[in-house]
Amino acid sequence: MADSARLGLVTYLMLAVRNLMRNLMRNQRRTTITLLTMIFGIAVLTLLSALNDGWLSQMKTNFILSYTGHAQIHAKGFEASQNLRDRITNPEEVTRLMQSYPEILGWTQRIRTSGLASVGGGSAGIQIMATDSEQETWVTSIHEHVTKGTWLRPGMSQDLLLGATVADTIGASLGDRVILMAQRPAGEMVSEVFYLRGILETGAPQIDRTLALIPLNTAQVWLKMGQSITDIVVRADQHENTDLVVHLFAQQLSDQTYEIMPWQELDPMVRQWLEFSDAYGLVIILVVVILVLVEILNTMLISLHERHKELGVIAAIGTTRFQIFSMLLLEAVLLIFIGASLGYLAGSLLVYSLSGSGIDLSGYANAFQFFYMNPVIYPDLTTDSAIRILGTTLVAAVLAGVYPAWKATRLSLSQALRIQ
Amino acid sequence: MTSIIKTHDLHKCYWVGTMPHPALHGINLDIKQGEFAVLAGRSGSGKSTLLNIIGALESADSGSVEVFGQNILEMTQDQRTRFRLHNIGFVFQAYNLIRVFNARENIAYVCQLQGKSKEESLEIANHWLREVEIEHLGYRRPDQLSGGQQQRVAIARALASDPKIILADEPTANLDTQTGRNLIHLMQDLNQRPGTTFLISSHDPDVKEAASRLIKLADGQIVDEWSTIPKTPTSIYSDCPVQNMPFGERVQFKIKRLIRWRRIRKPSKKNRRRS
Repeated sequence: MADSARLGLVTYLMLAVRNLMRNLMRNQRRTTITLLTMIFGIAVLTLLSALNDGWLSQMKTNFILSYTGHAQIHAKGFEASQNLRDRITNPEEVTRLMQSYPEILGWTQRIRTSGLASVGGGSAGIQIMATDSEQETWVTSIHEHVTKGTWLRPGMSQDLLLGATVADTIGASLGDRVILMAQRPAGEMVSEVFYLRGILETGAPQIDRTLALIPLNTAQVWLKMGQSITDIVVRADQHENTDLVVHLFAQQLSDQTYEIMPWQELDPMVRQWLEFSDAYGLVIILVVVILVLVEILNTMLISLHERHKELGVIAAIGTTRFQIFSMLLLEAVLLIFIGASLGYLAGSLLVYSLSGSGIDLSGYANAFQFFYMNPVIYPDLTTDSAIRILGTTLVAAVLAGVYPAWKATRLSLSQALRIQ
Repeated sequence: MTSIIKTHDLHKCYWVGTMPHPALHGINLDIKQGEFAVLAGRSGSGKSTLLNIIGALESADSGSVEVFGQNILEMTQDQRTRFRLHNIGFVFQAYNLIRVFNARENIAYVCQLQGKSKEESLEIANHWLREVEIEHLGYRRPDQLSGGQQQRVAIARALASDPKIILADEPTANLDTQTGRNLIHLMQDLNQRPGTTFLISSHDPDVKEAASRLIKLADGQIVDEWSTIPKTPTSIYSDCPVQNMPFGERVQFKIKRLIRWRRIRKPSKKNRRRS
């Protein structure tokens, strides 16, 4: 019987393909409606998925490049305490590792602490970030968000950049003398005079509302930290290598001394938003696929009803139940494959037509900036989404085919053969 | 001759809701190898049910059916399918060809199910198309063939798997008289091949006349049964079994045939109005 099953397979495939083609032609109106439903569903799904992936990718890139980098290395416990006592005292131990990893595109060192900014009568709580003006540009694009004035100038120790909102709050203008107040690691409060050289407008409220940027060397002297720093910010060559970079550092650095955090852990809100968006994308896929599945199931059941007799005949002359089952299942898979392929092609064309201009949502720009989004969304058709859409559709095809195929194996032969 | 089909005390009852509809009542039958047996009887007498049970298409409520010594009622569904594939050929009233295949492929399909290669299967199909004298129609699809031609393909398909038994359910019912006679002639010819047994259910008097054995069913029971010497194809119309009947039955049969003939030639007023 093994021979029979092997050789018969070609016949079943042939029968399935011919049956499919005949069924497509037998009721052309139904076929057109079914195929159009599938094509429309899969095309919309492809476009929505591409838009979702597009804005998620933009959001991820904006988040990573505007401030956090792909990963940060801190002294153990710093992220929770935000206290300068938890600092990296020997950054050289970490930075020398950077050279050996080609996945690392750049890094920078920072001191991060909270403080107070005041000018004239106005004052506000701030997040002081001291960084190397040149190294920072290798890692983040924050220097591109200077909307007024200039970026930190090399050798100018008293330069200060403020977020646009905080500058407004305290009423500071370019060239103003701004007094920053902070706490040294030993606990004493100190203040220093800086001159406002630039205003930053990243669009992310949490940055624009609190950030005060000063040169790293100045901060190390002012806060009496020697060569110590609080953050080493790392940029990987691509987003997908974040975990690899974290893993490489985790292997080399003691977890008793350091904490190595990928960007997802540095801002739980962004991480949750990305997870929610992924889940939302999956829900869209599921809804569309369920609709397609129901449509195909309906078509297959009607087709099964119409071919009751034919199935009875092939069973009567010696086709086993398994062979009938696999033949009908294959038929459903082929039908969905045709619809899904055409739908995906139509969706890809839609994405392609929008990929140049994107979808302009600048009317909602403020709301979108909150989520690190650009006002123009460019759809992005990724391999992952193609696999997700076509894979889910394939699973749906199998599910849609299983019930009618199983039902076909339960036919009463004598009744089927009596049908006129 | 060897018995190849034996039924013993076969019972079958259909249920419509809670209403029983008995179809077979204790059928005992013994078909020998090489017979050209015909099951005759009115509609609802149980002919098709008996044929379906013997052909392992349907199960019985009780009793046994032995085909080649195997009780097919004890087989699983897949065992029955394989049994049908290798031992039984079917010819149906409505031909039941696979519409998406042409005549040749319809025949070859069964051979491929048996595990033969595509080339070998098509060769066998060509052979049987020649045997049933429609080789030139091999590439036509069922809807491009006449009823008689379709039934010839169906017979070729039934024979292509090299079965020992051919079960035919009303094979001439959808054909005109002459085509039906030709088909009977063909089946008789094929019956002459050693080992191929025909069991046919039919109303058709021509089929009954061609039978080497006639089994009459009424209300699910065998009510009459007789055998004649198997006829050669050339003698089926001249050597009528009526001649073997006792004188009284022969007269009765001829009167009935005359009445039936008149009805065919001259429809009743009621029938004329209908038409």
